[in-house]
Amino acid sequence: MIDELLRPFAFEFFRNGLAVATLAGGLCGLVGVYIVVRGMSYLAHGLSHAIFGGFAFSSLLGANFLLGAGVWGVASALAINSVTRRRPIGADAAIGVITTASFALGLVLFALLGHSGGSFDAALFGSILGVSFSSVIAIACVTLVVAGIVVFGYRPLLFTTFDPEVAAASGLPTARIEALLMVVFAVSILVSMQVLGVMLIAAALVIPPTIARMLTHSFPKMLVYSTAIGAACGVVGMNVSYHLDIQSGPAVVIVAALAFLVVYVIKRPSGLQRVIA
Amino acid sequence: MTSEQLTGRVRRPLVEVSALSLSSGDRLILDCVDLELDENNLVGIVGPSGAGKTTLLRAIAGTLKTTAGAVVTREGARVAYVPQVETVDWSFPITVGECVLMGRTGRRLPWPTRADRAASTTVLARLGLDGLGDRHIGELSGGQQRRVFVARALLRDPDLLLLDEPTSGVDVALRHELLHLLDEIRGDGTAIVLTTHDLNGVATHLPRIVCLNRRVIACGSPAEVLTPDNLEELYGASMSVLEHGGMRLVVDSPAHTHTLFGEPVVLTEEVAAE
Repeated sequence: MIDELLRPFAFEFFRNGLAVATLAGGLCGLVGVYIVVRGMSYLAHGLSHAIFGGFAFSSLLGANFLLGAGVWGVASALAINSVTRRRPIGADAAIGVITTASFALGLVLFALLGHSGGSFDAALFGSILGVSFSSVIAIACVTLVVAGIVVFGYRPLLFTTFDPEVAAASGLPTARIEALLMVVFAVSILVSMQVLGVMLIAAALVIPPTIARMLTHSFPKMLVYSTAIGAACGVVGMNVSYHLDIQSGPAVVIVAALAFLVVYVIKRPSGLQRVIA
Repeated sequence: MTSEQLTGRVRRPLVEVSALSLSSGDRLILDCVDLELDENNLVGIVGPSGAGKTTLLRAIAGTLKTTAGAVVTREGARVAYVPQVETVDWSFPITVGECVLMGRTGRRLPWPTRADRAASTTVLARLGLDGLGDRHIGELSGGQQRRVFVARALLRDPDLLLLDEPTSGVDVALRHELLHLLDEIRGDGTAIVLTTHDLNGVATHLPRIVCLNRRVIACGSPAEVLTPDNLEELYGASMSVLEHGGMRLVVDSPAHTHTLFGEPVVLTEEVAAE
């Protein structure tokens, strides 16, 4: 039994994939807190779709995936940010327009190029087969930088997230802080996309913070819990993915969704009674 | 020599709003507003809904782009802003202690310094919130919720404290408590500006009020400013002003007695102001 559980660790691709999934889960859990408390879950969904356009574009040009999709993702994120700041268009509509158009463009490019095989599926649903050691390094660096931003910019980020008007009145550069957050979201999605996939990454950004929110009323605790839950879902999900021979993205998301269900039932006494009855 | 150099030695007011105009799209929200504030000033901005009260408050805070004119705040002055309770996200995952510490924008790290902790304990105790530091902000009573945001503002040790409708929806006892608190804070040398709908409950108790309806209609003590003429210009409805024990009391004119469901009804000033 133990031998069976440890067997995948003999493969380098699995060790790399596990490292990336753990880091991606933790990273998405961490930045997802800022998305969830703002009620911008739709942003997570939209931004990953926008980055898919960049992914298609960079494979068309034969450019590096991280670079091509990265520039594209950051540009979409900043575009959403600036459109949202103009009053007449709400954030949800801005996200809907920019990101779906970008996703559609990606689909068109893939259709024209006839790429509908492995790389297309991998982009949509995540795959650990292509995870190299350099991917591990890339995501480790991003995780470190994002964690640094969250710790060393803790209060300005919190104030701007909770109460942007008052933060601005207190002399914080809220416009620049919001733009920085958008870039952080875009880069985090970008490096996590490989294992989690475009279609499912929103879950990694939204489910761990939602579980953490049910467990605490404190913001710093929510950050810690959400990161830990995200990382744990990555570890468990990867192993499930190997043993059940399913794609990594769905495996991680199913594990997270089950964790959500368990906490939801436990944390709601009336819900528990209803389930037992 | 420029006039700047000539006046360089004269102490500048804390805030100087001069010929401030502000518009959003085609709509003019503030029209050529002048206002000067100094230490120990306690000023109430009164006017009907949509008069630009909150906009003026935010302009003083320096968060809005002006269309014309200027808001000049004395160099190095610390500004603190207390938002309307209705605009706060009460489900946000934050405890009272964490919320109050946000006021200390000088520090970026998550964990508070010993000085931070001491200051927040003092402020929480002063506002009667001691022992509530670990509570979620949504678990507080209405009066406590208002005081948390005053506490956060006070932790900035502000020179200028701005409050948007601090007494909206509070009962008489709480209103008195808040006004006493503000008077006490003013005693420490902080200038205070608040907006209010409530002429009789709040404005008449303040030393200085500004009647605002896009432009400044009148400015001065309640006794000087609350005249039937000014009020009619402010609200577009005629009102009477009674004197009672040295206090002014604004009531609707008898001419404005309306009938509702066949019964005569006298609108109160608050209803008329809406």
